[in-house]
Amino acid sequence: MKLLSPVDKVEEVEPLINAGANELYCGLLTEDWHNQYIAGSINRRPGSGANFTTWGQLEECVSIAHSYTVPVFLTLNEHYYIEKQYPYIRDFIQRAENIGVDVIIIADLAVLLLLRQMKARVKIVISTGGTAFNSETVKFYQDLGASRIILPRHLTIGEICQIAGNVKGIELETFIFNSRCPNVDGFCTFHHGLADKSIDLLYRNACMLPYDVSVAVEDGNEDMPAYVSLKRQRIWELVHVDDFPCGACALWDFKQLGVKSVKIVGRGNQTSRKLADVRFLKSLLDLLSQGPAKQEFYDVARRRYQETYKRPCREYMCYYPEVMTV
Amino acid sequence: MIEQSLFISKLDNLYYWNESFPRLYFGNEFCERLLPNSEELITALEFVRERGIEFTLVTPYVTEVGLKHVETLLDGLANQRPGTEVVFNDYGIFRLMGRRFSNLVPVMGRLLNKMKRGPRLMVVIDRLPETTIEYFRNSSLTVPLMREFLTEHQVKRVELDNVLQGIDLPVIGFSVSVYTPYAYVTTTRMCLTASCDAPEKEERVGIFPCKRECQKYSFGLTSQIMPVMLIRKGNTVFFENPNLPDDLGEKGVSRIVVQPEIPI
Repeated sequence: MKLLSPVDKVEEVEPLINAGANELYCGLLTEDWHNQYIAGSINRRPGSGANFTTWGQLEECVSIAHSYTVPVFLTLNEHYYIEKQYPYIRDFIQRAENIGVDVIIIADLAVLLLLRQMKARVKIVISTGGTAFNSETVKFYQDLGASRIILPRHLTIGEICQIAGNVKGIELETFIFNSRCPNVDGFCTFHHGLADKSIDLLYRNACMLPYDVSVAVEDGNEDMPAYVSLKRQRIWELVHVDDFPCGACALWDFKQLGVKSVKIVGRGNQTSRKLADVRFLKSLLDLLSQGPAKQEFYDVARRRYQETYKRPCREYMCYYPEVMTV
Repeated sequence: MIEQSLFISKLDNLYYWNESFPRLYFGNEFCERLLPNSEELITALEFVRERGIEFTLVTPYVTEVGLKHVETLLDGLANQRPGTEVVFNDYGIFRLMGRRFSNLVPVMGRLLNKMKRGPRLMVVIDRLPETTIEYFRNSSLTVPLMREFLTEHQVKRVELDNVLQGIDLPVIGFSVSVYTPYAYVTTTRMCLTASCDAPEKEERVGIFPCKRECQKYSFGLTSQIMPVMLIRKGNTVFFENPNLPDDLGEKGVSRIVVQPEIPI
């Protein structure tokens, strides 16, 4: 099983690979795109801190990664683009191919059709934004040339098992760490980062705002639902990168299912954080290669999580909370 | 002439129908647990047959379990009422229809039109460059490759929300429906409404069983930065926008889908 790590800076490439990342993904936000579409992202991350900002940086990243035979995945995964943006998108794909990018991650069906029309040499990975909740959707993208599907966060291990059992000839990737988005990514039409960090309520993801919650009840007592809903809403404000959401126990299950790669979320995180995440998960993949029993693996994963991140396992921060009952 | 269709998600709401609605939408877009069963579908079909009106089945995004459920419904629909519209919000269901149900008519649902709906946009829209505003009022449906693909696969109608920033799609070659008054913003399978009346489960945020608490409770979410109140109904967040543009006909809109209640 591969470990896919985010990378945003050239100087991160080598340390991340040395720490155990064997696939890297990144974004590229050029000045001309940013100036025209400021809050309209090219890759779900509208800020320069979560992106390379020049083609030269991306080329250097690819060059270093390839010297370790590590592939580079480039995100072009905004949920949609409009016709006027296509000359840029077409050029973006061609330039990415020319500098040796291995994979393009996409979410928009129209971009998949463009890649097919261009007979692109890069591999095509469907982002979680492609909302492949079932095997028939996986086959839909496979028919159109996708070689890997990143499954939505909002699937249980059992549901992933059912999908894996009904598809063949295509790689599956699952989320494993950070940013347990409370909403379905591909169906979420909130904006990421409508302003810079100086305007917090516009910068924060809309799901993380401190809402006041009121309840409308058709009958019965409204106090308890209002209380529970507010409590859960507060939890939702935490579930992005801030509080270390984790699915590491499920590595054991994913290996049995033949999942090809697991993804660490975290474009824009500090280098030290990216490295810690990679080291934590690499240590568990190493353990997994020794064939531990399920319970033994879960126990070690939980212990290492608690040691590394100095916090307990919590159901609401668990990507696959069904493992909490094992 | 713009057609008015009535959209309900449960049979109890059939009472909203009156003769101004020549078409009934029935089903669910957001939660496979809320899909009608075969008997409920038959009841809805009898209702429209007795009144001589058209029918559209609405389907959500689905897991493998939901996919089987939808396949059963489509089997029944294809047998009883070939030529019926089916709104798909999942490309798996779209593929299934192409494979097995070519006598049903695929309609691309509003979840697959990815236009941004977050109301916060209205706080900053006046400060954005024209190119950005154009992006937010537009969608991938204007991309020729997308249009050709959908047309080739028998999609003739697409469904849109009445977004606050306005819709500015050039004539796109499809029949267009606009939903009113509720626009969806986001949806989850980690339903916050499930078990919301059980205090011992206050920290449960995941995919867990429910008792359809969504049929009883809904929640208002307000924030100083949101220009309108968000409404959480079940697993989905909506806002209400009762103001339809005056020039819908010029924008190619031929159908208004009226939701007397949030369709959960």
